[in-house]
Formats: sequence, structure tokens, C-alpha cells
Amino acid sequence: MAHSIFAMELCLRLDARAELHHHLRQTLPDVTQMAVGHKWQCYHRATQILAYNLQSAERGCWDYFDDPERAQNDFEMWKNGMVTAEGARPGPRPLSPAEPRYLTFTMAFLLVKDSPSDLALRRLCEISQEHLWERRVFAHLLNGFGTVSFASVFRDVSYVIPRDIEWALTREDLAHEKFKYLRPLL
Amino acid sequence: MSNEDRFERRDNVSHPGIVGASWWQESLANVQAPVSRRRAIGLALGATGAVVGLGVMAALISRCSGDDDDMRVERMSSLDMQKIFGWSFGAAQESVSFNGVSTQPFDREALVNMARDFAPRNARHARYYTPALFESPFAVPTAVSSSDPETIVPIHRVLSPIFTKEMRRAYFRGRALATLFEGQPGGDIAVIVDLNGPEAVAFAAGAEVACDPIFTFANWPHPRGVVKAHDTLAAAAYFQPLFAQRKPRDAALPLFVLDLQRLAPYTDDATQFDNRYGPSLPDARELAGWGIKRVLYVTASQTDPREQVDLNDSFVAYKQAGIDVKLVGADSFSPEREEPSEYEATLGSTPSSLDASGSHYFYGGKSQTHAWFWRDYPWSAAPQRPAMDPHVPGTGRTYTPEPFASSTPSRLLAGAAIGTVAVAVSRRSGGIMGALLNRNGSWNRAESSYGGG
Repeated sequence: MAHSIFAMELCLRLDARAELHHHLRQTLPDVTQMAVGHKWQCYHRATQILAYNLQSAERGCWDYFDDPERAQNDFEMWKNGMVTAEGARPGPRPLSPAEPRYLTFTMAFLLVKDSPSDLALRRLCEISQEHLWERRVFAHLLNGFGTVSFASVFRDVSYVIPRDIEWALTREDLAHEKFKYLRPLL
Repeated sequence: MSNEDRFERRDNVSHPGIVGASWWQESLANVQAPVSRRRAIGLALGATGAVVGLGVMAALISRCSGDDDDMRVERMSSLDMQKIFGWSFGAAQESVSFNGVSTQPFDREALVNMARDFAPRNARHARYYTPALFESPFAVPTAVSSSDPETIVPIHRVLSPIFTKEMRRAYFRGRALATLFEGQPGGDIAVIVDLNGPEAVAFAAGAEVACDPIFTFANWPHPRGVVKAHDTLAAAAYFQPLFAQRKPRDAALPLFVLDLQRLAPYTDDATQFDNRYGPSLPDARELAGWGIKRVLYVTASQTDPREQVDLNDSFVAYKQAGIDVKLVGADSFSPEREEPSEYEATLGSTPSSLDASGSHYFYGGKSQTHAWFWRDYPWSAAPQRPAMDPHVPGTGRTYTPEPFASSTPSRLLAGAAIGTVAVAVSRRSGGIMGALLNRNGSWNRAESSYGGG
């Protein structure tokens, strides 16, 4: 079966009460099985929260590829970003109003290539090169994500950095080489 | 739901620094491409296990315990439910009424063009335009809710344009603000007007000679709507001919038009329909990209001390980005004398003839005080014209945004508690059975039927 991949990661500045972090965490239910409809609801909720809070997003990255080999390889890369915990900072640091802190939300999907959802995403992602990193493009993608039926999604991965708020990323963390793929939003 | 349609968790990570999981759907592991036509249609409709397809349902999850063995209760996006099942979802036998109906004949069929007629004329402003309210009059439901067996009468058939005394005042106040920008280089100023819906529309109509209104009304009317969006729509219907005539004007100031009632108090699922919503404003970087250095926030009254809670984050960010944000009460603009008789005279007038009514509003209430605006708000590089100090009360000109101590937009909006409606969902098939706007509990077990898209 041939696949395509859609992935997005956003780095958002935490609000003072970390409400955004709390609400994004809630979109990751701690269950071992999930119905297709429930999964759609969780991602729809997540994309709504991200769209509503895009003004707090400073960096991001998104991909869509319909080359099956690349789709498989890239999905493994996105998934490994979670299982190797490569994004986590080295230790906790209490939040301070004087220091901006950040979270990242990552989601990646391996879709059945040429399925209706894949075709809809492909159309959604037809963005010219000069506009790729514009905030409004991320809004466009997030708002259009509701067209995806999870009946066509073979694999998916989603994660939030951090789990505990004291581990929220700092500017120094984001300056690290491993975060270079996150582009400043325009 | 069959097991074939379930995702199984493969990797689960939960450390202080990261939390997440990866999943796979076994039923797709052996699917051979290409998918069959039947399967493809099913996927396109999201029919396999999704509560409702067409990609427009927003399941804002707030699950309650099931009311009985056959149904469960979920909260869904109010607007999405209205788009699917009709504007009066859950109350199809009810309608809306209008106060202040204009005696001016109007072209009901022209309502189909509202979304186009009210769109900004400057292309860069278009991305912040929310046409939802203006799309409602001719929207066609795609499904029938079993709780609404009656045929839903489209809004365009029940809508009557209104023109109230408050709208008249707001129109002339908007016009007075616009005159301040005549001959003034206002290219670095954006205006945000935050008034009750009908007055916000009227203010924008008055100000459009110098401004490019960007409407942000992200809801639909509903018979039990906590936000009286039907009044806003009726006010827009009155001014539609004026907006339809506008020509593209790149130099016009951006004027964001907000309905102050968007976060009206909401208390009861059974008697109220939550059609509230959050505003959509550009971020500081976007404004700066437009060359905006100043934001004038227009509230209803000079005594309003600060912005609405859902604007606080944006305004604080503007300030941090070096954008000067000031507040002015719409009632800072008033006529030299009250003209009660003229309101009656203008009831039957067309929008385009309002300016001929002889009414003139000024900053501070006198023609001699009008130019003092630029002393209270020293944003103009043009030479100051002679003017008298009207001593406008309030603190608007010294206002500066500060973070709210406890409530933030993220709390209001990320919580997604606003703009949702409780619906009954069949446990058997996931089909939506209807809105829970009544407590009689007499559910027809037939589920929703879906029409062609």
C-alpha cells in the first residue's frame, strides 16, 4: 500500500497560566485503543486550539509528500522525535514571568495515498514556496484539517513537549541545532 | 464501530520533558491500493465510524455521562451544527423578531450577495474578514435532525432590515471619526470598533468613506441565541446597498468591526443557544507589516476603562511590539444639539441619503472642538488646526494595555467552552440525534439523515 505524509510542528510561547499547555495535553488521551471518530475529534480539537493561539506561535514546520518511500522514512523520523525524546530539555527550571517559555506540538500522519483525504490534503497543501512559512498558511492548514477522515490514516503520531510545565523549553533550548528545522513564522 | 475501524497504540512516551503516542490502524495494513470506489466514497464522507462526515463537524469534546443506553451527550461547535442542520438547529419551530424595522423597501434577493458586499475592498485585509454571518441568509442545511422535524425556514425569508435610534447615532459617530482623517496622513493607524452588533455595523457604514471595514462576525443567528446575531444581520441588511457600492481603495484605514455581544453571558443549555465566538485580529507582526504603528480602539462609552477580556492578549502584544494602542468612547462624538425629530424623519430614508439629514457629530460635541482629537491623540504629523479643548471625560487617551490578572484569551478560547451546543449522539451508529435545547427527553430514535452535498 502506498502512503503519503502530512506533518506539522508548532512552537508556541506559553501563556502565564499555561492554559494552552493544559488544553493541548488534553487532546492526547491516555488510552490504548481509539475509534476513528474519536481520533478525528481529538485532532480537530488540537488544530482548533492551535489555530486560536497562532498569535503565540513563533516557529513551525510542516510537510506534505506523496512519494511513498519518503513518506515512510519521514514518518519514522517524526516518530523517532518522540521516542528518542530528543526534544526534551536537560532538566526542569521553574517558570518565571521574566523568561519566555515554549511548548511544541507535533503531529504526523501516514495516509493512504490517493484516498479522498489524501487528495483533500494535497490540495490544501498547494502553497507556493515564498508563502510556506507564513502564519496565515499555518492557519489555512489547521482550519482545513477537518477534511481528513481518519478512516484513511494508517499511522499517526502526536506529542507535546514538555509533559511537565517546569520542563518547558527556553530560548536557549530552541537555539540548539536540533531545533533548526523549526522556521520563524512570518 | 467494528474493531477494524480502531487505532491501536504502538508507542507511548510520558516523561517530564515530553508526552505523546504513535498509533496504527491495523485494518489498513493490508489494504491494496487503489481503494475501491465504494470505499473511497465512504472515506470521503468520513462515514466509517465518524459521527458525521463532510469534514465540517467540530466535536469539541466535553463528554457527559450517557443519558440512557442508546445515546450519549457531546458538545459540538454551534456554528457547524447550524451549517449542517439549519440556522435554528434544535428550535426549528421558533423564529426571531426584529425591533426597529425600517420602512424602506429592500431587495430581499440581494441578501444572497451579502458575503461579497461586506468583504473588505483591500485584498490584504481579506484574510481577517469573517463572512460567516453574511453567509447565513441563503445557507442550505445538508441534514435533518430528528429533533427538528419541521422544515426550517431560511433566514432570508424572515429577515427584515432594521434602523434604530442607536444605529443612527453610531452611523454619525463613525462618519465623524472618518472626517478626522480627511487631509490627515492616517496610513499608520488601524481602528477597532467594539460595539453592539447593529451599532458596530452602522459605525462602520459611517466610517467607510475613510476606512475599509473588516467584519469579524463568526456566528449565525438562532431563535435562542445568546448573541442577538439576527439584529446584527438585520442592521447589515439595511446598510447593504451602501456597502455594495464601495470601490477598491488601497489607502483606506483598516477598520476591524467587532460585535461587543460576542461573549454575552451564557448560563443555560436548555433555554439558550451558545452562538458566542472569539475575535479574529492580526498579530502585531502582521500589523507592523501593514505599516501600522497606532491602534485606536473604539468602545461604546468614554467611561469604558479598558478593552474586552478576549482582546487583552492581542493588545498587550501590540504594545510590546511598539504599537501605540489608545481607546476612545464612541460617545466622544456627539451632535451640537440633540435632534429627536430627525430620527423619525430618517426612518424611511435610504442609507445613502442619511448624510443629507443635516446631522453633524463632532469630537467633543462642537465643530470648534472636533480638531482637538489630534491633541488628545497626538498621532498626526499634519499641522494642528485651531480648536477648543472639549475636556472629554474618561481615560481613553491615557489608556495603555496591561495584562489581565486572571482571565486571558487563551483561557476563554483554548478552553473551547464558547460557541458549543450539547447534542445527543447515538451510541449505536454515532449519528447525531438532535440538540439538547429542551429537557423533555423525548427522543425520536431515528437518526439524522444526510442529504447530498
